[in-house]
Amino acid sequence: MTIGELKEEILGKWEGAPAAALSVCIIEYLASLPAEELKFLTFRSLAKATPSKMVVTAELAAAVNILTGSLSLLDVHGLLIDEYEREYDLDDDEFAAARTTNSVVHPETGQIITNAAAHIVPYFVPTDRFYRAIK
Amino acid sequence: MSITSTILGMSKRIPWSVGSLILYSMGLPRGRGWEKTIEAYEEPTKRASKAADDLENALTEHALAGEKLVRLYDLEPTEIAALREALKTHVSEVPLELSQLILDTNSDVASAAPLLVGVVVVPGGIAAVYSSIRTMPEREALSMDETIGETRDDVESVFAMVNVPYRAFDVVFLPAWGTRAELRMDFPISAPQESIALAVNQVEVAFAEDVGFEALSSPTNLFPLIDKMYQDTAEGIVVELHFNTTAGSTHSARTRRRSANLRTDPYHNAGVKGLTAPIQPFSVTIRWQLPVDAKRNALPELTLHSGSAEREKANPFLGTFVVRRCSSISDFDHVRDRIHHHLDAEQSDAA
Repeated sequence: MTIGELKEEILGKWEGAPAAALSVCIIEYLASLPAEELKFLTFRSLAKATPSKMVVTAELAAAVNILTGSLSLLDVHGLLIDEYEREYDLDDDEFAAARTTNSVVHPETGQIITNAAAHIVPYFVPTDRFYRAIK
Repeated sequence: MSITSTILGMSKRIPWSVGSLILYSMGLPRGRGWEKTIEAYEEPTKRASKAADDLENALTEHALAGEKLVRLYDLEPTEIAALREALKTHVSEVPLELSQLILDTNSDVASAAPLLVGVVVVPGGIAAVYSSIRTMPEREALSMDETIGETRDDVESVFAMVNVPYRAFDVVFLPAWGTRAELRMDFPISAPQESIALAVNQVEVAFAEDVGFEALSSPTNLFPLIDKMYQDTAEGIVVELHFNTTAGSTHSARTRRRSANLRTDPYHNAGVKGLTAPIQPFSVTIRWQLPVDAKRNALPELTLHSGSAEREKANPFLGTFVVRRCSSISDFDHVRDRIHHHLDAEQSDAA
Protein backbone atom coordinates (compact mmCIF):
# COMPACT_ATOMS: atom_id res chain seq x y z
CA MET A 1 0.00 0.00 0.00
CA THR A 2 1.35 3.43 -0.94
CA ILE A 3 0.91 6.65 0.97
CA GLY A 4 -1.61 7.80 -1.65
CA GLU A 5 -3.66 4.63 -1.16
CA LEU A 6 -3.51 5.11 2.61
CA LYS A 7 -4.88 8.61 2.33
CA GLU A 8 -7.69 7.37 0.07
CA GLU A 9 -8.52 4.63 2.55
CA ILE A 10 -8.73 7.09 5.44
CA LEU A 11 -10.77 9.69 3.62
CA GLY A 12 -13.09 6.97 2.27
CA LYS A 13 -13.58 5.15 5.56
CA TRP A 14 -14.12 8.28 7.68
CA GLU A 15 -15.70 10.40 4.96
CA GLY A 16 -16.42 13.96 6.07
CA ALA A 17 -14.93 13.54 9.53
CA PRO A 18 -12.56 16.43 10.39
CA ALA A 19 -10.30 13.95 12.23
CA ALA A 20 -9.79 12.02 8.98
CA ALA A 21 -8.41 15.07 7.18
CA LEU A 22 -6.22 15.77 10.19
CA SER A 23 -4.84 12.23 10.26
CA VAL A 24 -3.86 12.67 6.60
CA CYS A 25 -2.03 15.89 7.58
CA ILE A 26 -0.21 13.91 10.30
CA ILE A 27 0.83 11.21 7.83
CA GLU A 28 2.17 13.83 5.42
CA TYR A 29 4.01 15.58 8.24
CA LEU A 30 5.60 12.36 9.51
CA ALA A 31 6.55 11.30 5.97
CA SER A 32 8.48 14.60 5.62
CA LEU A 33 10.71 13.79 8.63
CA PRO A 34 13.74 11.47 8.70
CA ALA A 35 13.18 8.13 10.49
CA GLU A 36 15.67 9.07 13.26
CA GLU A 37 13.31 11.87 14.29
CA LEU A 38 10.26 9.62 14.57
CA LYS A 39 11.24 7.74 17.71
CA PHE A 40 9.28 9.68 20.32
CA LEU A 41 6.21 11.53 19.05
CA THR A 42 3.97 13.01 21.72
CA PHE A 43 0.60 14.68 21.20
CA ARG A 44 2.49 17.98 21.38
CA SER A 45 4.85 16.98 18.59
CA LEU A 46 2.00 15.63 16.44
CA ALA A 47 0.13 18.91 16.94
CA LYS A 48 2.79 20.48 14.70
CA ALA A 49 1.00 18.78 11.81
CA THR A 50 -2.27 20.56 12.55
CA PRO A 51 -3.37 23.99 11.32
CA SER A 52 -3.11 25.38 14.88
CA LYS A 53 0.49 24.01 15.05
CA MET A 54 0.74 23.75 18.83
CA VAL A 55 -2.61 23.08 20.43
CA VAL A 56 -3.62 19.55 21.44
CA THR A 57 -7.33 19.24 20.70
CA ALA A 58 -9.97 16.50 20.90
CA GLU A 59 -9.85 16.41 17.10
CA LEU A 60 -6.13 15.65 17.22
CA ALA A 61 -6.79 12.82 19.68
CA ALA A 62 -9.44 11.44 17.31
CA ALA A 63 -7.01 11.65 14.37
CA VAL A 64 -4.35 9.80 16.37
CA ASN A 65 -6.96 7.16 17.25
CA ILE A 66 -7.51 6.59 13.55
CA LEU A 67 -3.77 6.09 13.01
CA THR A 68 -3.22 3.81 16.01
CA GLY A 69 -6.42 1.81 15.48
CA SER A 70 -7.26 -0.54 12.63
CA LEU A 71 -4.88 1.29 10.28
CA SER A 72 -1.89 0.34 12.47
CA LEU A 73 0.27 3.22 11.31
CA LEU A 74 1.40 4.31 14.77
CA ASP A 75 2.20 2.23 17.85
CA VAL A 76 1.54 3.82 21.23
CA HIS A 77 3.83 3.45 24.27
CA GLY A 78 3.99 5.07 27.71
CA LEU A 79 6.62 7.00 29.67
CA LEU A 80 6.07 7.15 33.44
CA ILE A 81 7.32 10.31 35.17
CA ASP A 82 7.37 9.88 38.95
CA GLU A 83 7.24 12.42 41.77
CA TYR A 84 11.03 12.82 41.65
CA GLU A 85 10.85 13.54 37.88
CA ARG A 86 12.53 10.21 37.11
CA GLU A 87 11.40 8.79 33.78
CA TYR A 88 10.65 5.13 33.05
CA ASP A 89 9.83 3.70 29.63
CA LEU A 90 7.01 1.29 30.50
CA ASP A 91 6.72 -2.31 29.28
CA ASP A 92 3.94 -2.58 26.72
CA ASP A 93 2.05 -5.00 29.02
CA GLU A 94 2.24 -2.58 31.95
CA PHE A 95 1.20 0.36 29.76
CA ALA A 96 -1.79 -1.64 28.48
CA ALA A 97 -2.77 -2.48 32.09
CA ALA A 98 -2.36 1.17 33.08
CA ARG A 99 -4.71 2.29 30.30
CA THR A 100 -7.32 -0.21 31.45
CA THR A 101 -7.08 0.35 35.21
CA ASN A 102 -5.73 3.93 35.43
CA SER A 103 -3.11 2.60 37.85
CA VAL A 104 0.51 1.81 37.14
CA VAL A 105 3.21 -0.17 38.93
CA HIS A 106 6.29 1.95 39.66
CA PRO A 107 9.19 0.00 38.05
CA GLU A 108 11.52 0.84 40.95
CA THR A 109 9.40 0.60 44.10
CA GLY A 110 6.82 -1.90 42.83
CA GLN A 111 4.11 0.26 44.41
CA ILE A 112 0.85 1.00 42.64
CA ILE A 113 0.41 4.61 41.53
CA THR A 114 -3.23 5.58 41.14
CA ASN A 115 -4.43 8.19 38.65
CA ALA A 116 -1.88 6.83 36.21
CA ALA A 117 -3.05 9.13 33.41
CA ALA A 118 -1.60 12.09 35.32
CA HIS A 119 1.84 10.45 35.49
CA ILE A 120 2.17 8.82 32.06
CA VAL A 121 3.11 10.57 28.82
CA PRO A 122 1.88 8.54 25.86
CA TYR A 123 4.20 8.58 22.87
CA PHE A 124 3.86 7.27 19.36
CA VAL A 125 6.20 5.52 16.95
CA PRO A 126 5.45 4.75 13.28
CA THR A 127 4.93 1.07 12.49
CA ASP A 128 6.56 -1.01 9.76
CA ARG A 129 3.31 -0.55 7.80
CA PHE A 130 3.84 3.22 7.82
CA TYR A 131 7.44 2.88 6.61
CA ARG A 132 6.40 0.48 3.83
CA ALA A 133 3.78 2.98 2.68
CA ILE A 134 6.16 5.94 2.47
CA LYS A 135 8.91 4.05 0.61
CA MET B 1 13.26 -20.66 54.80
CA SER B 2 9.65 -20.01 53.73
CA ILE B 3 9.07 -18.59 50.32
CA THR B 4 6.79 -15.98 51.90
CA SER B 5 9.72 -14.51 53.86
CA THR B 6 11.91 -14.63 50.76
CA ILE B 7 9.37 -12.69 48.70
CA LEU B 8 9.05 -10.14 51.51
CA GLY B 9 12.84 -9.86 51.65
CA MET B 10 12.99 -9.39 47.88
CA SER B 11 10.41 -6.61 48.06
CA LYS B 12 12.56 -4.71 50.58
CA ARG B 13 15.68 -4.52 48.40
CA ILE B 14 15.09 -5.49 44.76
CA PRO B 15 13.69 -2.98 42.25
CA TRP B 16 10.33 -4.22 40.97
CA SER B 17 11.45 -4.43 37.34
CA VAL B 18 14.33 -6.71 38.41
CA GLY B 19 12.36 -8.78 40.94
CA SER B 20 9.61 -9.29 38.41
CA LEU B 21 12.20 -10.51 35.88
CA ILE B 22 13.68 -12.95 38.43
CA LEU B 23 10.22 -14.45 39.11
CA TYR B 24 9.49 -14.59 35.37
CA SER B 25 12.79 -16.34 34.64
CA MET B 26 11.91 -19.01 37.24
CA GLY B 27 8.39 -19.47 35.87
CA LEU B 28 6.90 -18.23 39.16
CA PRO B 29 3.74 -16.14 39.54
CA ARG B 30 3.85 -12.35 39.84
CA GLY B 31 1.14 -9.89 40.77
CA ARG B 32 0.98 -6.28 39.63
CA GLY B 33 3.59 -4.78 41.96
CA TRP B 34 5.13 -6.11 45.17
CA GLU B 35 1.97 -5.94 47.29
CA LYS B 36 -0.06 -8.20 44.99
CA THR B 37 2.94 -10.49 44.56
CA ILE B 38 3.38 -10.85 48.33
CA GLU B 39 -0.35 -11.68 48.58
CA ALA B 40 0.08 -14.34 45.90
CA TYR B 41 2.68 -16.11 48.07
CA GLU B 42 0.75 -16.03 51.35
CA GLU B 43 -0.55 -19.46 50.45
CA PRO B 44 2.06 -20.60 47.94
CA THR B 45 1.38 -23.35 45.44
CA LYS B 46 3.40 -26.59 45.62
CA ARG B 47 5.41 -25.46 42.63
CA ALA B 48 6.27 -22.14 44.31
CA SER B 49 7.21 -23.89 47.56
CA LYS B 50 9.55 -26.19 45.65
CA ALA B 51 11.29 -23.10 44.24
CA ALA B 52 11.88 -21.63 47.73
CA ASP B 53 15.59 -22.47 47.81
CA ASP B 54 16.18 -21.18 44.27
CA LEU B 55 14.44 -17.93 45.13
CA GLU B 56 16.44 -17.52 48.36
CA ASN B 57 19.57 -18.05 46.24
CA ALA B 58 18.39 -15.32 43.86
CA LEU B 59 17.95 -13.00 46.84
CA THR B 60 21.46 -13.86 48.05
CA GLU B 61 22.81 -13.17 44.55
CA HIS B 62 21.13 -9.77 44.68
CA ALA B 63 22.71 -9.05 48.05
CA LEU B 64 26.08 -9.96 46.50
CA ALA B 65 25.70 -8.16 43.20
CA GLY B 66 22.54 -6.04 42.95
CA GLU B 67 22.32 -2.20 43.14
CA LYS B 68 25.98 -1.66 44.04
CA LEU B 69 28.46 1.17 44.26
CA VAL B 70 31.81 -0.46 43.59
CA ARG B 71 35.45 0.29 44.31
CA LEU B 72 38.29 -1.68 42.77
CA TYR B 73 41.72 -2.15 44.35
CA ASP B 74 44.71 -3.28 42.33
CA LEU B 75 46.74 -5.29 44.84
CA GLU B 76 50.12 -6.96 44.83
CA PRO B 77 49.94 -10.73 44.12
CA THR B 78 51.22 -11.48 47.64
CA GLU B 79 48.61 -9.20 49.21
CA ILE B 80 45.60 -10.75 47.47
CA ALA B 81 46.93 -14.25 48.11
CA ALA B 82 47.15 -13.41 51.83
CA LEU B 83 43.61 -12.03 51.77
CA ARG B 84 42.29 -15.20 50.10
CA GLU B 85 43.96 -17.34 52.73
CA ALA B 86 42.63 -15.17 55.56
CA LEU B 87 39.06 -15.27 54.19
CA LYS B 88 39.10 -19.04 53.72
CA THR B 89 39.17 -19.45 57.48
CA HIS B 90 35.80 -17.63 57.69
CA VAL B 91 33.95 -19.56 54.94
CA SER B 92 30.38 -20.30 56.07
CA GLU B 93 29.47 -23.96 56.39
CA VAL B 94 25.78 -23.30 55.76
CA PRO B 95 24.32 -21.29 52.87
CA LEU B 96 23.59 -17.64 53.61
CA GLU B 97 19.89 -17.06 54.27
CA LEU B 98 19.41 -13.34 54.21
CA SER B 99 15.66 -12.78 54.06
CA GLN B 100 15.18 -12.83 57.85
CA LEU B 101 18.06 -10.39 58.26
CA ILE B 102 16.59 -8.10 55.59
CA LEU B 103 13.26 -8.05 57.40
CA ASP B 104 14.95 -7.19 60.71
CA THR B 105 15.79 -3.49 60.56
CA ASN B 106 15.71 -2.79 64.29
CA SER B 107 16.85 0.82 64.39
CA ASP B 108 18.65 0.25 67.75
CA VAL B 109 21.52 -1.20 65.79
CA ALA B 110 21.62 1.66 63.28
CA SER B 111 24.90 2.97 64.62
CA ALA B 112 26.56 -0.43 64.83
CA ALA B 113 29.63 -1.12 62.70
CA PRO B 114 29.23 -3.49 59.75
CA LEU B 115 29.08 -7.09 60.89
CA LEU B 116 30.53 -9.99 58.94
CA VAL B 117 27.51 -12.27 58.37
CA GLY B 118 29.16 -14.79 56.09
CA VAL B 119 31.93 -15.67 53.69
CA VAL B 120 30.77 -17.53 50.62
CA VAL B 121 32.54 -19.16 47.72
CA VAL B 122 30.81 -18.19 44.49
CA PRO B 123 31.70 -18.88 40.85
CA GLY B 124 34.74 -16.78 40.12
CA GLY B 125 35.84 -16.00 43.65
CA ILE B 126 35.16 -15.62 47.35
CA ALA B 127 32.94 -12.99 48.96
CA ALA B 128 32.83 -11.59 52.50
CA VAL B 129 29.36 -10.23 53.26
CA TYR B 130 28.97 -7.40 55.79
CA SER B 131 25.62 -6.32 57.14
CA SER B 132 24.56 -3.03 58.67
CA ILE B 133 21.51 -0.81 58.99
CA ARG B 134 21.50 2.42 57.00
CA THR B 135 18.70 4.85 56.27
CA MET B 136 17.37 6.46 53.14
CA PRO B 137 15.03 9.43 52.88
CA GLU B 138 11.50 8.78 51.71
CA ARG B 139 8.75 11.32 51.14
CA GLU B 140 5.64 10.64 53.19
CA ALA B 141 2.32 12.44 52.85
CA LEU B 142 1.03 13.72 56.20
CA SER B 143 -2.52 14.31 57.28
CA MET B 144 -3.51 17.95 56.81
CA ASP B 145 -5.76 17.79 59.89
CA GLU B 146 -2.98 16.49 62.11
CA THR B 147 -0.34 18.96 60.91
CA ILE B 148 -1.71 22.40 60.13
CA GLY B 149 -5.43 21.87 60.67
CA GLU B 150 -7.47 24.81 59.42
CA THR B 151 -4.80 27.42 60.11
CA ARG B 152 -3.83 27.74 56.42
CA ASP B 153 -6.13 27.76 53.43
CA ASP B 154 -3.33 28.12 50.87
CA VAL B 155 -1.76 24.70 51.51
CA GLU B 156 -2.87 21.69 49.46
CA SER B 157 -0.74 18.97 51.01
CA VAL B 158 2.01 18.41 53.58
CA PHE B 159 4.93 16.03 53.20
CA ALA B 160 7.68 14.86 55.54
CA MET B 161 11.05 13.42 54.60
CA VAL B 162 11.32 10.27 56.68
CA ASN B 163 14.57 8.37 57.20
CA VAL B 164 13.60 4.78 56.48
CA PRO B 165 16.01 2.13 57.81
CA TYR B 166 17.12 -0.62 55.47
CA ARG B 167 19.41 -3.62 55.83
CA ALA B 168 22.50 -3.07 53.70
CA PHE B 169 24.81 -5.82 52.52
CA ASP B 170 28.31 -4.72 51.57
CA VAL B 171 30.62 -7.22 49.98
CA VAL B 172 34.37 -7.59 49.67
CA PHE B 173 34.95 -9.83 46.68
CA LEU B 174 38.26 -11.48 45.88
CA PRO B 175 38.40 -13.03 42.40
CA ALA B 176 39.87 -16.52 42.09
CA TRP B 177 42.27 -15.16 39.45
CA GLY B 178 44.01 -11.82 39.07
CA THR B 179 44.91 -9.20 41.64
CA ARG B 180 41.92 -6.84 41.56
CA ALA B 181 39.77 -6.89 44.72
CA GLU B 182 36.29 -5.36 44.81
CA LEU B 183 34.27 -3.56 47.44
CA ARG B 184 30.57 -3.63 46.51
CA MET B 185 28.44 -1.32 48.63
CA ASP B 186 24.66 -1.57 48.66
CA PHE B 187 23.40 1.54 46.91
CA PRO B 188 19.60 1.74 46.56
CA ILE B 189 18.54 4.44 44.11
CA SER B 190 17.20 6.71 46.88
CA ALA B 191 20.22 6.33 49.17
CA PRO B 192 22.27 9.51 49.69
CA GLN B 193 25.84 9.28 48.41
CA GLU B 194 27.21 10.80 51.67
CA SER B 195 25.90 7.90 53.77
CA ILE B 196 27.72 5.49 51.47
CA ALA B 197 31.02 7.36 51.79
CA LEU B 198 30.95 6.85 55.56
CA ALA B 199 29.92 3.20 55.17
CA VAL B 200 32.81 2.55 52.75
CA ASN B 201 35.30 3.54 55.45
CA GLN B 202 33.51 1.41 58.04
CA VAL B 203 33.61 -1.70 55.83
CA GLU B 204 37.27 -1.13 54.91
CA VAL B 205 38.11 -0.94 58.62
CA ALA B 206 35.98 -3.99 59.53
CA PHE B 207 37.55 -6.02 56.72
CA ALA B 208 41.06 -5.05 57.86
CA GLU B 209 40.23 -6.24 61.38
CA ASP B 210 38.81 -9.54 60.11
CA VAL B 211 41.75 -10.41 57.86
CA GLY B 212 44.40 -8.97 60.14
CA PHE B 213 45.85 -6.25 57.92
CA GLU B 214 44.86 -3.18 55.92
CA ALA B 215 44.67 -3.93 52.22
CA LEU B 216 41.78 -1.91 50.81
CA SER B 217 43.17 1.60 51.08
CA SER B 218 43.97 2.80 47.55
CA PRO B 219 41.07 2.46 45.11
CA THR B 220 41.86 2.23 41.41
CA ASN B 221 41.30 5.32 39.26
CA LEU B 222 38.40 4.73 36.89
CA PHE B 223 38.17 8.23 35.42
CA PRO B 224 39.84 7.38 32.08
CA LEU B 225 37.14 4.76 31.49
CA ILE B 226 34.42 7.41 31.15
CA ASP B 227 35.76 8.52 27.78
CA LYS B 228 36.98 5.08 26.70
CA MET B 229 33.67 3.32 27.27
CA TYR B 230 31.65 6.16 25.72
CA GLN B 231 33.85 6.00 22.63
CA ASP B 232 33.65 2.21 22.29
CA THR B 233 30.54 1.76 20.15
CA ALA B 234 30.50 -2.01 20.80
CA GLU B 235 29.95 -1.33 24.50
CA GLY B 236 26.19 -1.47 25.19
CA ILE B 237 24.11 1.65 24.60
CA VAL B 238 24.79 5.07 26.12
CA VAL B 239 21.67 6.22 27.97
CA GLU B 240 23.07 9.25 29.80
CA LEU B 241 26.06 11.50 29.19
CA HIS B 242 27.42 14.71 30.70
CA PHE B 243 30.31 16.50 29.03
CA ASN B 244 32.27 19.73 28.65
CA THR B 245 33.20 21.30 25.34
CA THR B 246 36.08 23.56 24.40
CA ALA B 247 33.44 26.03 23.20
CA GLY B 248 32.88 26.78 26.88
CA SER B 249 29.70 24.86 27.55
CA THR B 250 28.59 21.88 29.61
CA HIS B 251 25.93 19.52 28.25
CA SER B 252 23.74 16.80 29.66
CA ALA B 253 21.77 14.29 27.61
CA ARG B 254 19.58 11.35 28.53
CA THR B 255 17.55 8.97 26.40
CA ARG B 256 13.86 8.49 27.13
CA ARG B 257 13.22 5.21 25.30
CA ARG B 258 14.64 2.01 26.71
CA SER B 259 16.48 1.00 23.55
CA ALA B 260 17.60 4.47 22.43
CA ASN B 261 21.34 5.09 22.18
CA LEU B 262 22.90 8.55 22.51
CA ARG B 263 25.77 7.42 20.29
CA THR B 264 23.31 7.29 17.37
CA ASP B 265 21.11 10.21 18.46
CA PRO B 266 20.99 12.74 15.60
CA TYR B 267 20.96 15.81 17.88
CA HIS B 268 23.93 14.55 19.91
CA ASN B 269 25.88 13.57 16.80
CA ALA B 270 25.21 16.88 15.04
CA GLY B 271 26.56 18.68 18.11
CA VAL B 272 29.67 16.50 18.25
CA LYS B 273 30.27 16.97 14.51
CA GLY B 274 29.85 20.72 14.93
CA LEU B 275 33.01 20.80 17.02
CA THR B 276 36.56 20.31 15.78
CA ALA B 277 37.89 19.42 19.24
CA PRO B 278 36.47 16.29 20.91
CA ILE B 279 33.87 16.55 23.67
CA GLN B 280 35.09 15.87 27.23
CA PRO B 281 32.74 13.43 29.00
CA PHE B 282 32.75 13.39 32.80
CA SER B 283 29.76 11.12 33.46
CA VAL B 284 28.34 8.26 31.43
CA THR B 285 25.67 5.60 31.91
CA ILE B 286 25.77 2.51 29.70
CA ARG B 287 23.08 -0.17 29.47
CA TRP B 288 23.46 -3.70 28.13
CA GLN B 289 20.72 -6.03 26.92
CA LEU B 290 21.39 -9.58 28.13
CA PRO B 291 18.75 -12.08 26.93
CA VAL B 292 16.88 -14.06 29.58
CA ASP B 293 14.89 -15.80 26.85
CA ALA B 294 13.45 -14.92 23.45
CA LYS B 295 11.04 -12.41 24.99
CA ARG B 296 12.79 -10.72 27.90
CA ASN B 297 16.18 -9.14 28.56
CA ALA B 298 18.07 -8.26 31.70
CA LEU B 299 19.13 -4.61 31.39
CA PRO B 300 22.14 -4.04 33.67
CA GLU B 301 23.42 -0.47 33.81
CA LEU B 302 26.83 0.98 34.59
CA THR B 303 27.35 4.57 35.69
CA LEU B 304 30.77 6.18 35.84
CA HIS B 305 29.95 9.54 37.42
CA SER B 306 32.27 12.44 38.08
CA GLY B 307 31.93 16.23 37.77
CA SER B 308 32.84 18.92 35.25
CA ALA B 309 35.39 20.45 37.63
CA GLU B 310 37.14 17.09 38.19
CA ARG B 311 37.42 16.71 34.42
CA GLU B 312 39.52 19.90 34.23
CA LYS B 313 42.08 18.74 36.80
CA ALA B 314 45.55 17.66 35.72
CA ASN B 315 44.95 14.14 37.03
CA PRO B 316 41.21 13.60 37.41
CA PHE B 317 40.23 10.79 39.75
CA LEU B 318 37.13 8.62 40.06
CA GLY B 319 37.16 5.90 42.69
CA THR B 320 33.74 4.27 42.21
CA PHE B 321 31.30 3.01 39.62
CA VAL B 322 27.63 2.13 40.10
CA VAL B 323 25.94 -1.00 38.74
CA ARG B 324 22.15 -1.21 38.72
CA ARG B 325 19.38 -3.51 37.42
CA CYS B 326 21.34 -6.76 37.78
CA SER B 327 19.05 -9.77 38.13
CA SER B 328 21.91 -12.17 38.87
CA ILE B 329 25.62 -12.40 39.60
CA SER B 330 26.23 -13.12 35.92
CA ASP B 331 24.63 -9.76 34.95
CA PHE B 332 26.96 -8.01 37.40
CA ASP B 333 29.95 -10.01 36.17
CA HIS B 334 29.21 -8.95 32.61
CA VAL B 335 29.40 -5.26 33.58
CA ARG B 336 32.43 -5.77 35.85
CA ASP B 337 34.24 -7.71 33.09
CA ARG B 338 33.70 -4.81 30.66
CA ILE B 339 35.25 -2.49 33.27
CA HIS B 340 38.19 -4.87 33.67
CA HIS B 341 38.66 -5.07 29.89
CA HIS B 342 39.00 -1.29 29.53
CA LEU B 343 41.00 -0.91 32.73
CA ASP B 344 43.50 -3.56 31.62
CA ALA B 345 43.93 -1.76 28.28
CA GLU B 346 44.33 1.60 30.07
CA GLN B 347 46.93 0.24 32.49
CA SER B 348 48.76 -1.52 29.67
CA ASP B 349 48.88 1.77 27.67
CA ALA B 350 50.17 3.63 30.72
CA ALA B 351 52.90 1.06 31.47
